[in-house]
Amino acid sequence: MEVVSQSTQMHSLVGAYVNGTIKAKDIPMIEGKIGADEGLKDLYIQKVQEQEFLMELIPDISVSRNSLLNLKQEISQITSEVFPKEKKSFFKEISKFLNKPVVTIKY
Amino acid sequence: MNKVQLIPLIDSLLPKVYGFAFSLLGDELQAEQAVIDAYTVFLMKEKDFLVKEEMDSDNNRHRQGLKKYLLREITREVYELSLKRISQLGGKRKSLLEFESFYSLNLNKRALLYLKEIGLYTVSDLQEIFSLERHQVIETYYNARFEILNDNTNYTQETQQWK
Repeated sequence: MEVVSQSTQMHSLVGAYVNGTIKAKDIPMIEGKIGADEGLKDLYIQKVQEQEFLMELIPDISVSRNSLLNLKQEISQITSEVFPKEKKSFFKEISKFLNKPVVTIKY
Repeated sequence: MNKVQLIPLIDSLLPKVYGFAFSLLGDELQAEQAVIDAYTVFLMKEKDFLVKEEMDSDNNRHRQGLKKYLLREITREVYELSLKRISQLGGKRKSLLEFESFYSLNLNKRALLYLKEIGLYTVSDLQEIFSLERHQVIETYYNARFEILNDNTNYTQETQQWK
């Protein structure tokens, strides 16, 4: 009975290892077991193929160029409307002004 | 942080957020609108925090952390908005034939499966986005996975029988 439950646990761990739900501490152990056991190696290959099949069933649509441009424009507009305007320091503005020459004489 | 610092960060996240919105709503226009609305809601909620947050452009770790936070929060808003909208859309949504089995899953499972497989989110990230316990995330994920694979295995078997 214990052997059956141990094997079921190993199968679940291989599945979790392939789809990334495994806990980090279990990774070295399961990698070692897959490397050492032919049965687990076959199961691992089967799970990887299943994973690849699953990926084909999920839409991974890229945003079109036009949509992206439109989104960027909207985001910029929303940010400008919602985000508070920067308070300009009076002294900073004065020092900026004074740093530049008021009149330049060209020879 | 000011808007000049925030906009490029958000721009870099748009393809990911759009992809997620599309996976939930199955329509370009709806996905675009969901991203815009989700960002507006997020900004209204988090404006004060973002203004106070000091942006250290030279610190790559800080920048990455901030990006991760922005992505997670906007993703959460997209999900919340889509939950409300999907009932309004009802049968109007065009079903994408090649992804029929994916769209036959409920929104919760679709969202989780997409973020886990395409978005490569960890279980703990998903816990935060969906406000679920670890075991609930794993259970929903496995159920979604089982349903979609089982649906397609049956379909493959049926078509093979007819051939």
